[in-house]
Amino acid sequence: MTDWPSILAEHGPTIWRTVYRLLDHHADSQDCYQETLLAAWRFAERRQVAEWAPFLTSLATRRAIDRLRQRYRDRGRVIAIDGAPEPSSDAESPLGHARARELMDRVRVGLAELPDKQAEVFWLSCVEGLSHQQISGQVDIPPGEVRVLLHRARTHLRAVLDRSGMAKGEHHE
Amino acid sequence: MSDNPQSHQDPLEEVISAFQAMTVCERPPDAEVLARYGIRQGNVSRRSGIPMSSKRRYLVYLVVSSTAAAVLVFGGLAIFLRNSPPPESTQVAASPLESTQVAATAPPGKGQDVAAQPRPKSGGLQREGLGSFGQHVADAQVIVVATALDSAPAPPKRPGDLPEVSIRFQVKRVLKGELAVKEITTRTPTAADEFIGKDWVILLSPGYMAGQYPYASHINIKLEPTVKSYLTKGNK
Repeated sequence: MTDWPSILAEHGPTIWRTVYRLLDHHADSQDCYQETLLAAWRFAERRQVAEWAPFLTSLATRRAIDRLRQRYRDRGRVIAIDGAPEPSSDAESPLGHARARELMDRVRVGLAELPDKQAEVFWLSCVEGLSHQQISGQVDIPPGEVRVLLHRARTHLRAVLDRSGMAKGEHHE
Repeated sequence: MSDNPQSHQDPLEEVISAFQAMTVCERPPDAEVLARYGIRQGNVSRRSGIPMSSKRRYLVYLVVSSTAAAVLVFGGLAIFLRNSPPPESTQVAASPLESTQVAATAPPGKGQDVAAQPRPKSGGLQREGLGSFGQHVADAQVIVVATALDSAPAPPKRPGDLPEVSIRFQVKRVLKGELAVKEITTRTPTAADEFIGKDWVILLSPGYMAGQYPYASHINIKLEPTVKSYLTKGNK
């Protein structure tokens, strides 16, 4: 038996945060959130879930990266400015906020370009803070490979930021 | 993450920090999400089976597919019943001697009418309607017994028509009406091999005699007595 209400209450915020950070679009995030939960439901029908937190975070990351890919394949898509969240800190200047958003968008594009596992490992390790051991269990690869994939992902994303010309603080001031 | 000291750190780390600090909107209420999957909050007794939506989808699929199957079956049955011949024509179809021959040699459309009629022997000698065998005999302006001599491909009436043949017959005797010529030619979609060298009772309609209609009803010679009996009864 699975106590879904408790699981949702405990891990729902994490799943939502993960998909929203990656997608930065409310409607997309809602869809992805539902998809993640449905996938978790289906998985739990067949197999026992040992650790819900890394499992759900990993599932949400995978789904959100899939959606990112879909989004960037369809380049005509425009994210409504109204949907953009407010600056994350009062201390942050509008210019800094704009730059951060730009960089995050670059990284999203870079993640969509990466192979599945590289993107997932990067996100789970660097943003969600999962240990290599946890990632290894979720992505089903040895811990050594997690490190390799992480290194490759970082290299690629740095290159993406370098290409963008914003990485070196080239602000549009 | 701004245009201050942070700009000088690793840009990737800067982005990672930005992601971690990112403000996110309110997530959908749990109750709404759970309701979507048919789970009430506080109800933990529900097993983690197929979500309700999937079950509903499955039921809808089941109902739709059953309905579609039923529609197909009943539709097919209705079409079959509508197109099936009346009971008496079943007897005719079972008689290769008569109906098959008539159907095989008559032109399209007309032959079907003839084939669908009851055998003259099986009662009801003279049936109402244009399609009855007796009526065909009565309607024919000239009836002859003739031998099929040879055939030639008949030119199609319009492009795309199925191939047909013209059969040349040597008239042996005239059973009804008057015929000055000793040879006649009829047109048929049936393969010529089935005709050549055999004797046939040929019913020539007024249209044929007027040169308007090249088709005629070719009846197996074994039915000559039947045709004669119709003619006799018709004269009375």
